[in-house]
Amino acid sequence: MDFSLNEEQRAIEAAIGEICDVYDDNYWLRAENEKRFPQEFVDDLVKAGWMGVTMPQEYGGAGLGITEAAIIIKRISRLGANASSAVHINMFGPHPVVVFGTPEQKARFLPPLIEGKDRTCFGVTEPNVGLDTTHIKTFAERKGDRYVVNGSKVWISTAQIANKILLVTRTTKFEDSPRPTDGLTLFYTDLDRSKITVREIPKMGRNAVDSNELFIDGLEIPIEDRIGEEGKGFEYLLHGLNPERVLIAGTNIGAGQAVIDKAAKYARERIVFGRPIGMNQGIQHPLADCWVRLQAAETMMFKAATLYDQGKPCGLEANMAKYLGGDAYFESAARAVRTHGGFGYAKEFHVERYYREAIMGLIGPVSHELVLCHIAERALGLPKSY
Amino acid sequence: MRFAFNEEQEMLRDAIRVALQREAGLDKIRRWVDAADLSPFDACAVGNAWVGIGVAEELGGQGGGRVEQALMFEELGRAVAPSGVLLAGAGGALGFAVRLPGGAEFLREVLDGEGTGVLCVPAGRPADEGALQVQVAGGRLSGVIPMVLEAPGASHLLVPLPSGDGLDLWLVPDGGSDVDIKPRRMIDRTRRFGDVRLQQAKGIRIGRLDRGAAQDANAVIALLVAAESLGLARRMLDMTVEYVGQRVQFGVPVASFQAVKHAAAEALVDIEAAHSGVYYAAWALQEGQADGVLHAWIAKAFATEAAVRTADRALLLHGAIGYTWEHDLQLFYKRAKLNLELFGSPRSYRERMAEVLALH
Repeated sequence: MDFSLNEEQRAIEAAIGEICDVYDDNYWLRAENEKRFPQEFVDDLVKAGWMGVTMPQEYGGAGLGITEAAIIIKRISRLGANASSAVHINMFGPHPVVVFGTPEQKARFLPPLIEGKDRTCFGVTEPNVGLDTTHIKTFAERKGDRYVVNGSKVWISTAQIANKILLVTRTTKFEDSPRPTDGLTLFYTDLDRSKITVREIPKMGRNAVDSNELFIDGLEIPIEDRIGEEGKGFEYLLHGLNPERVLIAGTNIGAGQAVIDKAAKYARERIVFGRPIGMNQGIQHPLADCWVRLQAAETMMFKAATLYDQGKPCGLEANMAKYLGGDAYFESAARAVRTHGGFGYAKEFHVERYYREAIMGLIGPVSHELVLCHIAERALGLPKSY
Repeated sequence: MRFAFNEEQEMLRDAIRVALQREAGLDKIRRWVDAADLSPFDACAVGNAWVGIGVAEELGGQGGGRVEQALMFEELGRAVAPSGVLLAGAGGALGFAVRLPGGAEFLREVLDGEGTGVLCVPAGRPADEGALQVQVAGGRLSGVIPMVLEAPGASHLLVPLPSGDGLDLWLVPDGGSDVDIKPRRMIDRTRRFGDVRLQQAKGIRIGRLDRGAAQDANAVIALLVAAESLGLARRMLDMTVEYVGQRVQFGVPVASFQAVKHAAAEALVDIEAAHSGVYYAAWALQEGQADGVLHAWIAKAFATEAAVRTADRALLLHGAIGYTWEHDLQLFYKRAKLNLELFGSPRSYRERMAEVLALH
């Protein structure tokens, strides 16, 4: 068992860190306040060739594994969710294209993504569907050599600026499918704004990166933009779930570590009653507790990533990493604000921004309650409860 | 709104506390426990007329209501006194019988100043569920009632049998071959329990309680267990505060560490919340408020859990010494754990509360 990063991984972390360090807290505070997409930051990552980190080398990618991807997203996430969400979809979202696309599709789709010319978004969930993905209603009807799509999607990040969309639809209605998981089909295609209305959802945090509702009315998709076989889309989605959970764990752990670092720094410097507040056990124990939890989550995350990269099952580990990471981040962000006292509530100390973002870690992309259902069923052999 | 005890209630509390210190101190309780004979406390409870507190004077009691009874049980908890006789007898059997016309008088007549009547229900469930596994035919009762508080040594068993929406109350004298009581050894050795087996036991049906009356009777028992747990918690916190003030590590009393003092402060928060819940429930039951039963359930669920949390904190703050037989904390710790389950776990009462909330 080896818990250390290898030389290449350390170099990756350092290289990402160099780019990240250019963008300080005040940059992200402004981006948040002005709801401005952090384009300069994304451009820097594109220029340095990081967008294709997990994509095959023959299309301009780096062909690295989920372990490296986790290291990268964890480092980026120290800057907060505006930074990670600005790049996450383009770096890792096209995974189904990488795995299930034809060589022609990969050659057509991947290089522009890696070069930053194309920007995609990911359209899975819908109003009234939540995590019950097989019940989506958006329907793609085959007409000759194209499909015509109608429906709606919700919580689609970066749809304001994307020109591509990875879209999940039904091609057979739920009630006509032999199994609930049959009849879903995946497309990667142009986000045609004459057929898709994008409406931004005002929200509590992560305001530099837009979240949207999409209304799709008669979107035409050529058959060559279909990924894999018709009706197999759910299977393709499942394939991406575990790596997604690992990376979400990295997102929460990175942000959690950053926010605890900020709190510890404040606790060392802030003097009350003639001594640093960090001298109080009431202050230092909760921070130590958060640090322990973040480290435990990180260890689980690397275990899941290692298993995935070795081609072994990692469903439990990936879900546990997501659970531990989300939990640890939420507690860390709350503790960081409390450590700062009243100043924690002021935007200039930056921790409130993390606090507003941290609750996402308990909700998306899968709620903690549903993670527990998964663990109960798969690890403990308990009956399905929902 | 006035949230204070009156002078009489404070005098009663002080008198009980002094009598318990004098007649049922921890040294005595340890001796009784070692001898596996708790009867000296029974005599103490009778001698001090505690069996009559909360019982109307015209029924031969000392008067007072649920608040006075709760005050007494808080003191019993503070002393970790073997209070089972008061819970199963005055609180249990009499508490059920008194809800029948002439029921209390009948019970008193049967017991004739000598015997002890105890409520014969499984100790792990709310008492208003009755003795579920007992059948009756031709005036004879058959079946098993596991874990009955104070069954060993009782002269009469008051057996509530579920019937329709209510409970039929049967009185069964012990002593014959048709009643078998097997004592159970508990981790908390300050309480007596026994499994009761009735084999065609001859009983007298003394009346019937409808569902509401049965719930009222159980609510009082729940309240008294809650009040006792409150007393246990108060004493455990007192012991802990004293200990952490004396125990020196790194040259200072461990009480000076925030991790220690905050844990103690959190225990106090728990205790004061339990106090409010217990005495509000006592007042509401006494005054016949519509929500009295609900608040007794809340008090039972909260105060017994608060006492367990306090017990765990007390043990943690005492370190290894709290884990020893020679330290008195173990007596309180075990009682707190037992009271959690006694006459209905917090979970069972939460289920009832959920029904009141009309969840579905």
